[in-house]
Amino acid sequence: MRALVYSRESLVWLVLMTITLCSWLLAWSHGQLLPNVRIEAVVIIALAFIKARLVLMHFMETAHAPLQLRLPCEAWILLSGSVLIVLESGLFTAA
Amino acid sequence: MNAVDTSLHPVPEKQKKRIPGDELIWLFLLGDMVCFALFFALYSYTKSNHTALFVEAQQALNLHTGSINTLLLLASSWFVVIAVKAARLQMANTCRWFLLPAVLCGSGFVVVKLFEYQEKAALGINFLTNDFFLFYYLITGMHFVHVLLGLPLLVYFAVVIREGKLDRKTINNLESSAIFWHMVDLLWIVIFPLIYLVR
Repeated sequence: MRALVYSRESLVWLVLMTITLCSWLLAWSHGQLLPNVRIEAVVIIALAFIKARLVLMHFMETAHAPLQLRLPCEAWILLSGSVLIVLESGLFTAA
Repeated sequence: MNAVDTSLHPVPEKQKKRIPGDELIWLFLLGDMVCFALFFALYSYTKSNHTALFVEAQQALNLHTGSINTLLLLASSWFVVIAVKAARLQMANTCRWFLLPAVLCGSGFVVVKLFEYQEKAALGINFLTNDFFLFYYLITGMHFVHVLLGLPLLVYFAVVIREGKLDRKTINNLESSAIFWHMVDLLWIVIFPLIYLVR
């Protein structure tokens, strides 16, 4: 029982909770912790995709899966993360 | 040179590459994730063209209920991870005892979400209010349906898993359900910051 709880997945879970609280703090203190709201948006989205990758790799166990499964998962993180970061960075925001 | 006899040199358990759960569930999940990713991109693109409207509409969202839901789903996912590990070790009782809090956290998500929807309805907000709320109801609604599909699967395994040997098929089905539940968590991990946090 103890070995089940004291595992790498539990450590990952603690990291996930910590990142969630950091993102919430950033949004709650909107515009105060970072110099620019667009930078804040990019940081929050980047943190979200770091969390998503942790869940995919460690909870969904794709870290130990063959490449034919791991590659589409990594591609999903990379592509959706990049697109959202670019869109939320304000580069294409209407003036 | 002779080929190496793998029976004499077994591959250590940690190095074995395997697909957890059923292969078909992965096909379904990856397709689902791509659909959600398209909606995320469409939301973000529309927001970039109507930033003022979206930021103003976001003020009506409750940051705290969204955060509570994130913590509930993360906790639920962790309980499911431990339950699957217990099932693989043939610890049926432990598996069941970890599935129960997972179900409770998932149900907590449903209650908080319904409270949030009811809160919006009381303010006269619906999916026709503006573009932001169209996306809000569409994306969170689709996710909510996934939660409603995943919860009964967890309840099912919490009920059917009993003391005794867990066969390979049951463990495999549990793994598939667990993967579905983790995907529900993963999608919320992106939805929450995208719709609630980023202004």
